Amino acid sequence: MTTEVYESVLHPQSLVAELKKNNVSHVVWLPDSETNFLYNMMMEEPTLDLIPVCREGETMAVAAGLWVGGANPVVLIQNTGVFEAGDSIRGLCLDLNQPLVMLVGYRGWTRRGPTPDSAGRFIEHILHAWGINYYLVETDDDADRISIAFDESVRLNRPVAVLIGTEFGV
Amino acid sequence: MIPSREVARAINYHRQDSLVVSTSAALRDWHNVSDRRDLDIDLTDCMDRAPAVGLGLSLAQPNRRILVLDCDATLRTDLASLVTIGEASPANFVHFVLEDADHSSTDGTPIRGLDRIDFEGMARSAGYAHACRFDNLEEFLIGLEDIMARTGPILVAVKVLPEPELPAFPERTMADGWAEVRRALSDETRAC
Repeated sequence: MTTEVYESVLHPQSLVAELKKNNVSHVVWLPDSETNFLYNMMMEEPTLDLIPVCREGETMAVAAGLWVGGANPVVLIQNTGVFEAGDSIRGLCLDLNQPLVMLVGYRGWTRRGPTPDSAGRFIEHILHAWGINYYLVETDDDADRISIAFDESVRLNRPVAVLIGTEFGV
Repeated sequence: MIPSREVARAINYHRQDSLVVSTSAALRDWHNVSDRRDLDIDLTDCMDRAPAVGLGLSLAQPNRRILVLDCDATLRTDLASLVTIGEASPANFVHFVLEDADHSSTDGTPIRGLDRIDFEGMARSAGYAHACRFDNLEEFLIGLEDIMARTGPILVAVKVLPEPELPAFPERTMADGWAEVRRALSDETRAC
């Protein structure tokens, strides 16, 4: 008997390609330990400017300033950062009708079995509470959902989340 | 101490086509003196986020000066923004921090220790290119011309005395105001 092995991973190239395809100008992010491969790839991409912040709440405000100034930013944070940024998401994204794609690391996502990490348990409930739609991306095959999120955010003038449900592959 | 309305008038005199982000008590004075409300970004909500909004604007509009009119009580709640701005080091960024002797932004409630916070020193150590402080109107009026010509980011702490009766916030909503600025910038881009 032979067993086929599928490589179900998300490569940073797939995400960066989606950002380029959607004419993203700036990535406002909080550097963390899980996005190192992605960081290196974004640094090599001349069309993207990376703006690091100290706390996630700042990402929404910096993105709002970029947007009102005519740029096309995304934010890149972990789901724990969505909790931290809650008031800015409310006041600066939802209330200002800002079209913004939030790339969110889905810490605690397990797909099967129990989900012991409360960050994983709460994030979808929080997004539902705010009426923010979201798309789950786990492999390269899902990456085109990022473009769906961009289309939706522009069409509805609302933030849309992309939950990155895996660590990046090499 | 400098009357807060005079600070707003002086900044308005020097602003030219700068984009101005203002918040809290600073916004109450600013919207009454500004000659370019189409280039004013008001924060009547999320008031602590004025520096971060200003940073985003400065990166999107690098050829235009960005003035942030902040308050001590609001900056106190988001001190990390000083580091974020110091790291990004936008050359077109001027951050005014109004140190309010009457604690008007908290309706007169004093914040313990606020008077001891050295925003000027914090900005320097966070990476701002220049920081200074004024508590005299004449010196502020003279210094402002130099500040507007300098390379940023710059923090300007100003000791102010608010109006005895605080002016109201602007009537236009934040969403309407921001949309107006987006239109103005978009029209300018098309005209070029």
